Amino acid sequence: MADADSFLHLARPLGPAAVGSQPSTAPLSIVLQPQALFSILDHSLRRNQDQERVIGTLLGVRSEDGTEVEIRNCYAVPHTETAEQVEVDMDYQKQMLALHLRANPREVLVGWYATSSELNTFSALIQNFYGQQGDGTWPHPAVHLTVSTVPGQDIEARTYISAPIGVTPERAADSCLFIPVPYEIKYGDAEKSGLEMISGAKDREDRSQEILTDIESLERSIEQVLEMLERVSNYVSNVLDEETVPSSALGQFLMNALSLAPKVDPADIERDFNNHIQDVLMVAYLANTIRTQIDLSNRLATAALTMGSGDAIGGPPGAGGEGGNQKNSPENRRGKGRGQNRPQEQ
Amino acid sequence: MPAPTNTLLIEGSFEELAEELARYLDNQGQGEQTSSLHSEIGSLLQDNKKDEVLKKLVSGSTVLNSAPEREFIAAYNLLIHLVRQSPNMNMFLPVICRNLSQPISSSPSNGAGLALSILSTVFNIIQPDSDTRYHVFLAILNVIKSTSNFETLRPQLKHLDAWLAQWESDEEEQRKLYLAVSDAASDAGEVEDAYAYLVRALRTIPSEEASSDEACTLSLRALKSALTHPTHFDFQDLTSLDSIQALRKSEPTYFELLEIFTSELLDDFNDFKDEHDHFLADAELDGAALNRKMRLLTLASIAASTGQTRSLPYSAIARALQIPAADVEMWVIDVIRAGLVEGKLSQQTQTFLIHRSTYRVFAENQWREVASRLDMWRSSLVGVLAVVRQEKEAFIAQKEQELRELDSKMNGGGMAGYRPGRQQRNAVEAE
Repeated sequence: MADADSFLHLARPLGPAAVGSQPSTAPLSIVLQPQALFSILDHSLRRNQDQERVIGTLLGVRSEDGTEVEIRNCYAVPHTETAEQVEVDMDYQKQMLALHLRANPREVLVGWYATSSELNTFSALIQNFYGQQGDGTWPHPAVHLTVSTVPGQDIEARTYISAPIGVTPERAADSCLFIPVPYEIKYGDAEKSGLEMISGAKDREDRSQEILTDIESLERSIEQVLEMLERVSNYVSNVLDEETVPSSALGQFLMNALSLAPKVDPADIERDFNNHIQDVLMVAYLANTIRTQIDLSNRLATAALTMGSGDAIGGPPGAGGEGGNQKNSPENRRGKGRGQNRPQEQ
Repeated sequence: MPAPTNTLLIEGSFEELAEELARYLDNQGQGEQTSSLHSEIGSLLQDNKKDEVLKKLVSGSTVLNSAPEREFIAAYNLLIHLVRQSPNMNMFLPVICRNLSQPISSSPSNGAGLALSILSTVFNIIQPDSDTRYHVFLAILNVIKSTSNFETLRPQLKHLDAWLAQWESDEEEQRKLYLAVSDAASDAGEVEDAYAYLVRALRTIPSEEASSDEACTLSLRALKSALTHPTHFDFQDLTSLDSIQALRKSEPTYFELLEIFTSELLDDFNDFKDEHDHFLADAELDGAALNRKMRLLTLASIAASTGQTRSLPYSAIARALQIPAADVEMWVIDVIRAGLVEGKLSQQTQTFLIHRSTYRVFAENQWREVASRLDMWRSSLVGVLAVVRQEKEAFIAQKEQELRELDSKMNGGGMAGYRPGRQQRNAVEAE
């Protein structure tokens, strides 16, 4: 993040107390899930040409004491902005919220987003709308997320909550102070590697990317580990050659990390490995046997069927011998068919 | 794109807002003040003397401390908004900070939170590279210390280095700040943080001033808290400091003690105690805690010195720690919990099998050990990589082989193509 983003967040403004709890000024922190961010970016791409920014509602979960907000989901809300006034489609917002809550009953309204880093008096108005009593996030503060979407520049996200400003009610109604709060974008390993995969395609002519097989990704990670090892051993050899000032903390850390590998006798390893191999071979053997059995049973079953149609020539010799009887009594044939299956089931 | 500089969004001209605030302050101050701010600033506003108006407002803002807690933030934010429009903003901020450092009478339970939220707003609206932020931050530390709110500050401390760099503070200022943080932390009972910031404060002392009185008292303070801290075992960070080295001359006994804790064993500590009879009591150091710590360190040392056998008999531990054999297991468990050693106790053979041990002094031998282990790891990984590549090539070759077989089967017809295929497959299996 840029230097200009340094700020301090120590206390949130004193909110109205929820029933039965003490009002608190504990600081707030926000967790941002990537899927919400992506749908905001998507919304920004689909906006009208003449719209500076678009807005939408953020949904998520709030921890019990309200100090941690997790933004999980969002949807767009149409609005129009001119120099003098701003209009937000409130009915749409209400209905969308109701529908969303029906689909995801655990999520609640946490705030709103805008796709521009700018804050202006309209932001204050919308913020007060989202934080109001009744339909808003009251008694919790509404979270405002700005995501800058200027093409060609890095995407910057910022999160705010608001505090009232002004000493008369009329002033306070359309103005507010935005308090920057820290946030964190949380993503899992699976999401990260998936994204890396997709972004690999952007540098290629045909805009496509091959999916790596297990063995290829194993190879790649081994190469990465080797590269890291190279770097570390460079440092260590520099220390040994007295070119770098040794840091005992770093050395201690390396030592601890390297001691993690248990010390095992090579003979033990070989024994364990052989045991394991035998297990694997046994499993493979059993699997093959079962497959053969299933195959066999299938063939026998279909053989019985073809026999039923009167054509005994193609059937197995054993079944063919009894073919004459079966032609007269279909019931008996079915019993026979079951009997053929029985050996395989054992 | 920089963050928006203005986070205070309110409509209305300076004059209107100033008048509203003045009227509000008058209402709050009823009974205490006879003069009316509102009428005073009215005439000043007409002459367009903004700074004069602000001076009046800021000095009148002391009554805000008794404003109802719900209106407190809103009113203060308005004041900050007005002050912000003045070119001489820095003139008014010290007064505001001082006012906020006073207890807020209307809200005994949330007063600290209110003051902190206003102060952080003040902090945030100042340009990030302005050193005014430094003073505001000191005021914040003051409030935090007096209200023991260290918990709320802690997540923000990681930015401290970046801030100090931005403010271009000199060493004197940095030291003051670190010490303030350390004080706040120790008041809140966060011994770990207090010690860490004390050491950082010590680092700011330039080497030529290492033997000054100030440096000496600070070093002694750091030394004592390191010695008595129940979970602090690494003293190398202290011994590498110039100001601590300077103690060798000024306070030789302390320095001797430190050296014992850095690298010596329990026997040496006992010798030291015999030699300096009342030293520990005089220095107000807890003898029992030190003894315990020394035993843990001694165990770590002997565990590290076992070399390749990596096991210690119970009797050796009991002898080195000077404890009865029955207590050995308890001590080993304590050492493991302190994170100095990892290992397994074997009651059958009465030995302690060591997986990992901490080296109290990390010297060249240890570095060599690290280097050799790294090399081993790398060579085995290279081997694995070669196998993986080989298998991959073999797999591709096999695929191609099958394709060719299929082709020849299509071209050459039934049996002729099939038989070589079968032989091939048998050959692969035989391998």
